[in-house]
Amino acid sequence: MSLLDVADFTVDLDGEEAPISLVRELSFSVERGEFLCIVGESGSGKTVAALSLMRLLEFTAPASQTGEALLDGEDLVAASQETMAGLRGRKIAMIFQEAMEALNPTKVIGAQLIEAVQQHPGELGESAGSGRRGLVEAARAKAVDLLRQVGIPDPVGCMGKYPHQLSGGMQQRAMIAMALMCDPELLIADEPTTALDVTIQAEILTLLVRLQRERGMACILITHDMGVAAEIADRVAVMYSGRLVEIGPVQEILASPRHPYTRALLECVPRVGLIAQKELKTIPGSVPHPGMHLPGCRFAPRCHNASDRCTSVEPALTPVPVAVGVGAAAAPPAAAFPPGERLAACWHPEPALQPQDAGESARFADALVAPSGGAEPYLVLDAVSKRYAASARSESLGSRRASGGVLAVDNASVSIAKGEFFGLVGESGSGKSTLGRLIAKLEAPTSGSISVGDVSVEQLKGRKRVRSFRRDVQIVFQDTTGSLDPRQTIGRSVSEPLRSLTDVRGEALEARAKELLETVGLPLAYFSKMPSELSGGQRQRVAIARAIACDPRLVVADEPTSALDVSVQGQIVNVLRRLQRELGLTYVFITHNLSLVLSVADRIGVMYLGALVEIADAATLVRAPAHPYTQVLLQANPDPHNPRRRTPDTAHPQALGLDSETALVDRTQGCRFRDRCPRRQERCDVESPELTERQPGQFAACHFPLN
Amino acid sequence: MAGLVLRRIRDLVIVLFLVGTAMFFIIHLIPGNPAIALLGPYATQEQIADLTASLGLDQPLFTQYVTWLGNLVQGDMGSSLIFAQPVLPVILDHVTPTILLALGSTIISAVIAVPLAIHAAAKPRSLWARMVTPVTAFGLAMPSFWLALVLVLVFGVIFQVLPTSGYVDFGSDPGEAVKYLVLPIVVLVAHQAALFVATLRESMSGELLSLYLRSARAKGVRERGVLYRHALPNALLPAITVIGSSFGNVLGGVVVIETVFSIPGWGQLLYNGITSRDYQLIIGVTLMIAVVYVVVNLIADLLYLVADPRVRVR
Repeated sequence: MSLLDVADFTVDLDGEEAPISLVRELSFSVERGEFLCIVGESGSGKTVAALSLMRLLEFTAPASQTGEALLDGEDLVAASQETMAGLRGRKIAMIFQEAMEALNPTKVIGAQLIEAVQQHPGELGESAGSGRRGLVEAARAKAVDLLRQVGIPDPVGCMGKYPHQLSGGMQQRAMIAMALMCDPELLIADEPTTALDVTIQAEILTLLVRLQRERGMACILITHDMGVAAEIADRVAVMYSGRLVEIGPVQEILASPRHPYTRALLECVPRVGLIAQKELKTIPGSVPHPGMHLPGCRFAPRCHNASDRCTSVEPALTPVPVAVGVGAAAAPPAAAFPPGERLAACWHPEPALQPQDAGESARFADALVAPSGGAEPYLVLDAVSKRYAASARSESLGSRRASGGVLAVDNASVSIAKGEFFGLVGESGSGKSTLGRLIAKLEAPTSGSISVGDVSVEQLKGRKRVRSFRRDVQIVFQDTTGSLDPRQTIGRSVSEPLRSLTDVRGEALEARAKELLETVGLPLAYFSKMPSELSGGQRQRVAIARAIACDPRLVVADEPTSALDVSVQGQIVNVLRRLQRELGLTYVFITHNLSLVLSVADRIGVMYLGALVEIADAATLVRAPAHPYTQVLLQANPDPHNPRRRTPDTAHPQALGLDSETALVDRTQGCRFRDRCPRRQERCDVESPELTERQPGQFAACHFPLN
Repeated sequence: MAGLVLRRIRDLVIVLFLVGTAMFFIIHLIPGNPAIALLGPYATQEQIADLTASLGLDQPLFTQYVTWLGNLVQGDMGSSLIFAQPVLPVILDHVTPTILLALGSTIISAVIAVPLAIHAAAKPRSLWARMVTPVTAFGLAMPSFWLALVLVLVFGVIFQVLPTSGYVDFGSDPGEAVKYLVLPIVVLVAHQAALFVATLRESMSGELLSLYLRSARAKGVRERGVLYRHALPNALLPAITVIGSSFGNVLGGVVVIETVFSIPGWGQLLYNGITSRDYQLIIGVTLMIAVVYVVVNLIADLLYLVADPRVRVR
């Protein structure tokens, strides 16, 4: 018998009229010691399904479940909340996405961990002897031990800390420890690494796999990232619009997806080491709301292969033949399980593929990357630094004292050619967004100079010249909701820069705004819509239309796709790239998504704690990174096309550890990366490395580069 | 934390200076003067002029102000005319009833408001949750002197179960003392509890959406624990500030209530001071109310620091 057996599991939301099915007829099982990943884009119902299995959704929404979900023989659907309270934490535990939000801000970590045991005194209570105090002491000892197991450097000290005193990675570790306090048999992890940097994500995933193996625990990990699933899952379940569309062993799903959606989803993930010559793959349209009435297959409207049958009858999850050679060639590491059933809900499943070797021709080796060296430099940064004062108070007083504060950008120099697509990658706190804001003159650098074309940005004085600069340099932000005025129509938003920066008025203005909507691929009907009526991807198109309204030369795109689903990400990047070709735009594309930037950017700058540590073209960066940090990033980057299986022994404590307080790193002396660097030597402690040319076109700031 | 206290002490000095100055000039706008009030209707013009001169009231207003301020800085708040003794001991003599009323009603209001607010927030579809908005609006809108008169009419005159005016010292007869405090405290509580329920329900409703409650449930915490151990402490944080600043309203309300129920506290002092033009007494009581208000708010801010670890960092 499986540990968890879910059959016909449906979650309805009681609406004003008819109930809306957020999750429909889900059936799957999880074995003891198995790692199942549920993958899906936003709106697929994956989180709703998990919360409903825990019976947690009904506390915050009028939701009800039908069907069956047997956990070790106990039906979670039929159980009372009292019974569920007895099961939660003890047999089935859950960790959540935003660790900061998921921990009580006014209770210390220790108290929150101990509380978990107090709900289920059970064995710990008996072994600890009688009395509440005995239980608390036993729980405290266990909590310290678990905090150590999840890799918190000072477990005893951590017990007395409040959540906000820990970094994001440490908070997530503490939450994992909290979930394990009563040794659950099933752990559900809902996007536990989505808010974290890739290097920390890699650590947390490795940790989860290790704990799961050690304890023989079953794990369900929910993620939107195929790459994450590829690294840790035994089996993968793909959800779309509230339905399960495909499930099977991870190698088979990756190598030979049978449902067109799974396949499309995989193809949407940019391939590292493969320059996207023309366009990134996308899925047209958007995910239908799970409650929307659609006859037939939910994916049919977006499917390349849909037939009449697809639009009239909904396909059920049925077994599909296992691809010959795939399952056998690469046996899952957890070979203890019989190769799982392979199920897909599709009338016309994709043909079984042999392991991919197509597309090899487009790899870097052959795709000669045009070196951008010859082109004239357009954007030139010379030793640009930005220091933020320690407090808003001293900031507003214009305190020039160098002591204290944070050096967000430290001595960054780079020149970017006209028409270049320059990627800027780095983890949170690397200063990449600050640099973008400096370039767009939203803030002034503390020292150094920036010039765009023949204009020196810091010497820009006078309304007329600033306006001219604003016409030339525009910016697109990450948050699509926040960057559009919710009370202005799309048309008004798009024409606003024209109104404020040019003399275009009246009909010409409206005509230009409509033309812009067309340029970014939005229907004209959107002209009079409000931002709230649009999806995230559509809003980002609007933001792009607004940015290019005055024919800028340079666009700073600050994480324009990181709030979007992977199928929409490609659409946005394709628009940007088309505009680059058609209008000769120069881009500074800021992102933390390595796969994406490696497949679209001409050159890439890697930032770490305020400094540019490496600059090179994508091919060089992938083949022969010079800076150890670049290599760390590459290794941590989850890539479904070339998965690096996370096993308990893949942890590289030297290179990946120390996700604690990066702000505490002493940046005044030596190399800022030395604490995490596997190649650290004495020189690194005393002398900070300059960005120097290693080979034509490749710059690195390292005393002991990798090649 | 020491910085906060020092800053508040500085603020207190400024507040006292402004309140005192404002009061000084405002009371001189009231027609009549202490000499007339003191000597009664049959005094001759000479008597009034003599007394006015001996009280220093014939000096130009600004000169009087400078003299008054100089004395205040040296700790001399002047003497009360009606009590014929220094103001400060008079004020301290009358502090107990006022503190009893203000503190008692605040505590009782909080005790009543917490479960009512939690219930309204946790069960938004319940009858109570639907009623809470009109009920609190009524409590807030009702003038306290009107409620006081209604209560006096019902419990004092019609049913004659409770005394309607006067005050008995706790030391002499606790049982009797409580009887005399019931009606005034009920009046104060009606307003304050309504304010607390409205505030706390709002912050509790917001807190109930917090994701850490989901984590608490996920580890098996029952709803009671989720509400009282997790949500309530966080929801109380904004309430601390509201309770602190509402204390000023309570002190203002006490003036009215003490007058209606003839309770010998600061309110009555102030009332008597105004009717007999006892300038020094009026200013003294006002200044003390300002001191209490600032100190209570300082305590509220310090409590906030203790209760919210996130603020404590800086």
